[in-house]
Amino acid sequence: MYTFKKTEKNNKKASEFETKSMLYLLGMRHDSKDIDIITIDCFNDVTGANEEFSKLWDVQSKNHSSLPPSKIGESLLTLYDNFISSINFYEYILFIPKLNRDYLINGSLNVYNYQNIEDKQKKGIEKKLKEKINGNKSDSIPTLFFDFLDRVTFVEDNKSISTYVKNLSQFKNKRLISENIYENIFIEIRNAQTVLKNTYIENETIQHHPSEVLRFKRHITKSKINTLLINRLIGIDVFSFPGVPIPFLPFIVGLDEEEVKDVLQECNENLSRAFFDKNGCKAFWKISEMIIGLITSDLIKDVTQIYIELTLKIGINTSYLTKDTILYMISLIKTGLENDNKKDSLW
Amino acid sequence: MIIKKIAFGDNNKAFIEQRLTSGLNVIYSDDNNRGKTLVMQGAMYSLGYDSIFPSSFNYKEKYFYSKIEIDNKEYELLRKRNSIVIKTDGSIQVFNSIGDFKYFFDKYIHSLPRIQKNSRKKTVDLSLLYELFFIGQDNRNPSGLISKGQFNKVDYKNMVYSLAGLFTNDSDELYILEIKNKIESSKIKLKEVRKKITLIKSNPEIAEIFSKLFDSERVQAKIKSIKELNERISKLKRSRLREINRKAKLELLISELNSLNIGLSEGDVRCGECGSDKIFYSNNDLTFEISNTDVRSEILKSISESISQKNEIIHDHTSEINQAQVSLSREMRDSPPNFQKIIVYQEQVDSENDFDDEAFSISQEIGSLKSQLTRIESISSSLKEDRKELDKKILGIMTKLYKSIDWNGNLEFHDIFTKNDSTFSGSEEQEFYFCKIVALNEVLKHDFPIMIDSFRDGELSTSKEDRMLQIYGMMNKQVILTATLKDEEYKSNKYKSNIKINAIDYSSHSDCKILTKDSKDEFSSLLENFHGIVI
Repeated sequence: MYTFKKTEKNNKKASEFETKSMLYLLGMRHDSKDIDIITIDCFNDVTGANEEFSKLWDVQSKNHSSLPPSKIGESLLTLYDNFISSINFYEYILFIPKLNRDYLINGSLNVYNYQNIEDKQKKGIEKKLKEKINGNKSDSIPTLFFDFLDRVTFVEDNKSISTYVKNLSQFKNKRLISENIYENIFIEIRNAQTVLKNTYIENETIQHHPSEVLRFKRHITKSKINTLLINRLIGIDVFSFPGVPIPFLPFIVGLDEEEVKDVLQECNENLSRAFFDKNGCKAFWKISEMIIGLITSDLIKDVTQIYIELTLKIGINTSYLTKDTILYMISLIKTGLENDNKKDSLW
Repeated sequence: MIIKKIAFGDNNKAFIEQRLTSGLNVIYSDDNNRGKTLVMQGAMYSLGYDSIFPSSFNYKEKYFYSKIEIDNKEYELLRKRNSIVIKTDGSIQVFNSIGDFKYFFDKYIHSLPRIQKNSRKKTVDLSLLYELFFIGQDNRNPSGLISKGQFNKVDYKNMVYSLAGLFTNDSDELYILEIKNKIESSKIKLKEVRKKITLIKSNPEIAEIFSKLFDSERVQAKIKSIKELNERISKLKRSRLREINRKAKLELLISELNSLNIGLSEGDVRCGECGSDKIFYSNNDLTFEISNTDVRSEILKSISESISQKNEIIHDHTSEINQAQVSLSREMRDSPPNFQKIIVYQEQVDSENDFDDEAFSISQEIGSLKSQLTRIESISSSLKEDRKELDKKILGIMTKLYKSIDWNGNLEFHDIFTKNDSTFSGSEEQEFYFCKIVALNEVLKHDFPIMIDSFRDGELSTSKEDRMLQIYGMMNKQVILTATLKDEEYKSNKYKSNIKINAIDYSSHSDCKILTKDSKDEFSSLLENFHGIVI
């Protein structure tokens, strides 16, 4: 059994930091591709999981302008609680701003374990953590105390907001995207994350398996974030994609130049309608999500095939989402995703 | 921009040049007719230049390919006649006119300078831009441009100013003169048109004369070319109409989008018990807005960009139509043997032409030219000064360069074009071009390579050549030169022995036969790269 404690409502700065730690899990780690779901403020500030919930990445994020050893020790408490709980976590991560370099043995690292911390600071950390765990100043050593410290990974935030978003994207635009646009996407993700915290789950329990946490609806899937990002980037491509996306070629074969121009304009007009239509928004979102899913599951699959599979799964009855428009959109997404997966230049 | 690969040919024979490097390249051979000019002109042709090919070479039936790199991005271009396909990773686009290609080039590849011409802001043609860095072998003319399009040397100078950031209306006296001339000739034109109008009205039986002459060969040829011009005009008119339609649709779209984006939900939700408006969404799948302000404003921006681009295209079409109409009327004016017949053709083939309209538009044009003239004459003097400064700077560099290759030379530069009546002897013309091209590069720091076909034209002396090569080598950009070597130069491995030069030897090509069957397959696979697009 696991009981949810110490869930929090956060201020803006802290939640921004939590969003960073979430994006760190989804895009910055070598094993990011294994992480499919992020739960917000359940087990910990942010906890990543694979689809089966057989692996959990537990993150505590602490955004303090200065983090003396005592503060670090205090911050480790929730991770420790989870360490000794009934659930096994795969990683215990403390996500923090850059520490004072004097604390570290190797100051060039941004990701390190407990062994990289100087003895003097270790003492301070341990003292405060013990105090917090024991609830008194007795200085007795709690269960598995040092095993826990050996398992913690310290991750320093040393990147700009837009970098976190960029790293998430498997999608490449033809045009240069301004930092500002990435920052606004970050804010959207942050706001969504904040909304999730509006429910109350203090002292709720789960009995058997961590996946039960899903019933609290406090999670974001990677596919949602991906869809958000790709959707924004595709939106920016509307009316500005240079020429015909290559996967779309089969659909304009035999048309003359003027006809091609008309088809492209038509598709772009329709797509812009979709992006502006406040009322048809859910359907379009669903379609995007499915297209991205179908493409990423098999990059080789051709546009017609994807279209057939899409229409089998979902009926499209928005008037402006014509067949050509959907085919064009599939081609745009496919181009963006393909570009990222191949290296150019022969020379 | 770096040119990485040049190729041309057809399904039977082809030639591919991929030995170029990003430094100093010299293509040479021990004799003429080894294909150096074809490679240079071919490369430029594929980029949209109005190339001048040797008359024996049937370029209209060939494909021209090039692979270039700009800002670390590769582009492949394929041109046949006036159709161009451009491919870069993930996207491909076909253009059936160089004019359309120009706008794509401007928007996605490299922005083109804008200049003021005929009181409108115009994007320069690629051919004009390319004369900044490319000197072909034929039709050289230090006092003017090599390629003859809608732009002239005043435009060229304005392009240089525009690239240097000194853009505004024309202040050049030459230009004022040009406008004055135009007004003059428009007045004459107006008179002619008025004469035609009276003539048509007074000659009802002209058709008879026409039928007697119909069979003569000359008349047939005339009819053919007139027919072609008419077809061209109507084709242009059709595409102009389509562009106008597209533009109108886009304008409608903007207002449609704005109304779509107004949410249906009027009013807001409040808690029935306490009246609070802090109502949270819960137990619902997390959803994001379908777009955010960034996306929507980017889309609107792109649409308005498209609209203004369409405006420019429509205007281009209009001026092309006007040009064709001018050639049409010239064609008819030149017709033998008398004036009356001309009118018959005109009525026969071009019934659309309404002289009343023409007279009206000419008099309007005269009006606008006149107002333009007044405006230009009162242009601010500070810009004039800045431009003078720039001219001085360019000429200064040209002089410095000239002195560094020809210590005792007597040439003096007064302008980037020479006066019509000045003549060069020997290699002086070559030296002039060298100084001009290098100086422009130095001042403008443009992104293009330097390409000079036959860079030693006019028996350039060895010592001058060496100093030129040294300067070319230090430019820190791609330079492609060609030269025909004398026997003893060739035997002494003149270029090969210079490590700074990437020497490419064309001597082994047989006379006038650069295209071979050997490269056929490789060339076909290059063409296949364009996904079977047939142009």
